[in-house]
Amino acid sequence: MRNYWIRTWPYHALLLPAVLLCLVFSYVPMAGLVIAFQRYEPWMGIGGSEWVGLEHFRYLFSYPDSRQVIVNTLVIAVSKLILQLVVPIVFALMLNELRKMALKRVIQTLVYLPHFISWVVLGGILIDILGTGGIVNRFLGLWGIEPIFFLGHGDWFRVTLVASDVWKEFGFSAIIFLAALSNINPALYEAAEIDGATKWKQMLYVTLPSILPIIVVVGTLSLGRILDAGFDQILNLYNPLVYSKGDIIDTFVYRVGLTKGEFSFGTAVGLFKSTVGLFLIVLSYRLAYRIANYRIF
Amino acid sequence: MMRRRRWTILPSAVLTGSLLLTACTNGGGDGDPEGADASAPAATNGETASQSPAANGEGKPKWDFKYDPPITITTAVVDENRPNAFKPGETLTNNSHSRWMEENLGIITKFDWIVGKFEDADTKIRLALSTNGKLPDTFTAQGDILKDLLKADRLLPLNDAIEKYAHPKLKEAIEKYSYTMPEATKDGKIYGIPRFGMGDEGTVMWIRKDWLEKLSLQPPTTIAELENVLKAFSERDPNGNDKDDEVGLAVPLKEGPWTWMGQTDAIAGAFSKQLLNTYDIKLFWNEDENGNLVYGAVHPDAKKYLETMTSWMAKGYMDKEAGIKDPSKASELAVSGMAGVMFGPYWMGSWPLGDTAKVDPNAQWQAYPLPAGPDGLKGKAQKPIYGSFSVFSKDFKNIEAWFAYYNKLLAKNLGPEDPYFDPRFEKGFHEGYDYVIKDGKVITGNYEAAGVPKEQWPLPDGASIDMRWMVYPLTGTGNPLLPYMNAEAIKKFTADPNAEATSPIEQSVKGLNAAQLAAASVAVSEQGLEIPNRYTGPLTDGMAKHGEFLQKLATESYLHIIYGEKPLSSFDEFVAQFYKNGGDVITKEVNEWYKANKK
Repeated sequence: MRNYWIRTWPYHALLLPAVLLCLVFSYVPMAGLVIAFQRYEPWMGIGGSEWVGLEHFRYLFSYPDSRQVIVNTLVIAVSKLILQLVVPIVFALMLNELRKMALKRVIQTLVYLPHFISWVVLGGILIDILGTGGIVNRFLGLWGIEPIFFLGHGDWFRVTLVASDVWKEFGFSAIIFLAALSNINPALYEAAEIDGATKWKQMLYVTLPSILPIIVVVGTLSLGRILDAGFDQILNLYNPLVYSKGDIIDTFVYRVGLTKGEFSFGTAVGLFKSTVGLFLIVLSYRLAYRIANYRIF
Repeated sequence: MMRRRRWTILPSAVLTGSLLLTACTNGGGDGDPEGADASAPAATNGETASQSPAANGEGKPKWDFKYDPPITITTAVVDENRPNAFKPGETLTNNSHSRWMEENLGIITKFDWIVGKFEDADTKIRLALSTNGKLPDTFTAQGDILKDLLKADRLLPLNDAIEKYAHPKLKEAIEKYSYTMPEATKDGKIYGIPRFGMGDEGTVMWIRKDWLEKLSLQPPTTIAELENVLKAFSERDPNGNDKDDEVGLAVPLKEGPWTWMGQTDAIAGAFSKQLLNTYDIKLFWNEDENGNLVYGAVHPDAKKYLETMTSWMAKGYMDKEAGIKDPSKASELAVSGMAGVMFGPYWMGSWPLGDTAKVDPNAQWQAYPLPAGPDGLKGKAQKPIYGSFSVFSKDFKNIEAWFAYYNKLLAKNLGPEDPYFDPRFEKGFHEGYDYVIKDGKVITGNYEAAGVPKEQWPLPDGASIDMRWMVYPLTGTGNPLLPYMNAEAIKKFTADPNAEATSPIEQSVKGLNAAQLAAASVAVSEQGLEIPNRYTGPLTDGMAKHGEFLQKLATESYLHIIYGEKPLSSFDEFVAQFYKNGGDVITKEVNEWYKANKK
């Protein structure tokens, strides 16, 4: 045992800063969650503020709109979650088949560029190109399709949200899959080829199984964000015409809580979202282990 | 809500006029990043009485005072975006004005904090509250922060100080516009000096004059005539590109009928005295026939407004995408030559509408008086004449020094006849900073055009210095203004655009472009049509609890009706919903407040 410590202490020392940072910035602040159960007033402090139990949670769920915003959040978030998993994988697989390295690089760079544009900027651009006189509708007009009010019509608004989010992020999400793809042992492909497997069969039986662990990890982690439907995107794009289909928990909390300095309410909603997220992550972790025998972490 | 309130800062910003505009376009010439000097507790407490201005000797004029030894006042500023604030080498903490103040007035300004955003300032104050930390001697507060400060009992009551030291004009304004005060009043004591705006942002009707002439139309004076103009604009191709791409009215409806630009209060005002806003539960509360307050957006008169807007939307006279656009976005339609009418404040003649000339060199926007309704009614909303308050820490010992300095700055706006007017500021604050002298003439901007040699320019690129940062840190980086104080100046320069400007207010009015000045003149002449919001109390408990839902409900219902997705008759359902979901509670609270505070 003594020997073990002498041998390994430098590694522990290397780990120490990360552990400390995590403790200070992730664990200690959790104590602040108690304000979710108080009517927190800054000058009274946590010690002096009045305890109100579950009042903020009750407010969230008894609000006339809460069903609507929770349903909206789930619909939008789940659609994004699925597409945000499928599209990058398909894209990565397609890109992986490209043999010209230069072309591959160029495409990869181009598709992940939108990731770096903020939604504030993109919001303004989308309003223009999706407008009834915008470029998209003019294109549709060529096929005789009536102009569609993408941002002002509830169902189209959801489609627009999901599509634009996928467009913005799929290139960036694909990076991790591309990395996984490049780690596959080429000998596997050679063996498959000798056995007479076609490109398609190679993909099904070599490529996909090899990156499946990564897919599961990414999928599981994104489940933790099931109640995040994309706050900054929606805040910049939504409008009264689509409240009924586009208002989500975060935009609701923003209007009620943050602009008015209601710390406790904001904290309560955050706690609620994290709890649901944690529950789903643990659940999917267990399921992956039981059913597919994967150790994710 | 905070965001929007802060737009009330705009009038003063715009009135710093050419300053700000050149600042925006030229960009360069910024000062050094100053070391935030946070380590300055007020060192000279306690020895105040002997050195107050009043004790300076009876024979001295009111403007003449000096503290010896010098005193220190601490403050805090939001250093949001300030191109052209300082000469190279000068900083917020050390510049010619700060040195001048120390030498001549014996007042040293220290900064407890300098932050980049309004939100950060709020955080700093909340932090000081939660740790019971030190507050600056004077700083700016409003809304929830002000409410918190009052609850925590950390502010200095000002009744005596106002009585003893305040400029008579300020006292007069506080009395005359006493409805601004409840937010900063607790138990009968006043805790804040309102940062008045000039209330000059009332709506005017902007129309493309060149389009009117091209289609041989008369300027509309009624809603019916306006409708004809809108029809002609949207159908007769006024921009002459052979495409049916124009609409009549550019209007943002993302926040409902009322916002800071492009608002439709004048259309509502043509049909009823009931002004309406759906996006803020504190606006607009109007008196009904029985003298009770009623929320304008649920008053039956609102139907007339909705009927008009719905028919304009259906006929294509209005931007089809109004519902997803905020004011800046809506103005792009007008600027790009696709819309010929837009409502809004007088300053739109420069930004945004002035930019139309880039698309169409013949474009000419002109402000017209508001259109009258079928019964001859005209009306518009009174823009709030105050936003935030200057407040003072309970530990501040030199309140009279703050007032003495405030009075001096206010007097500079009022002109040389004022007893507090400091003759050292007659030409401006400091030569080579806010003005230069060329051939015996005072030049306050556009130095290159005025032929000032390059080495005399205040800033190397020829821009004007934005004096708010040097001169006004103690008054919240804003020139102390009083409501409507520029009305006379607007009249003067409308009569004679080349008249001599004798005060900063007159200079800023003179700095307006021709379209803005004409619009300001229209706005001033229609000031009598302005209808104030009758509820000026604090956010009630009911508002805090239900306000957000009602705001969403109202805005959503209005837009669904205007877009024809729901019939006009659904208005009654909306009203029932409104009262059922907390509107009744709020109405009751508001009326109780009104009975108690009505004069």
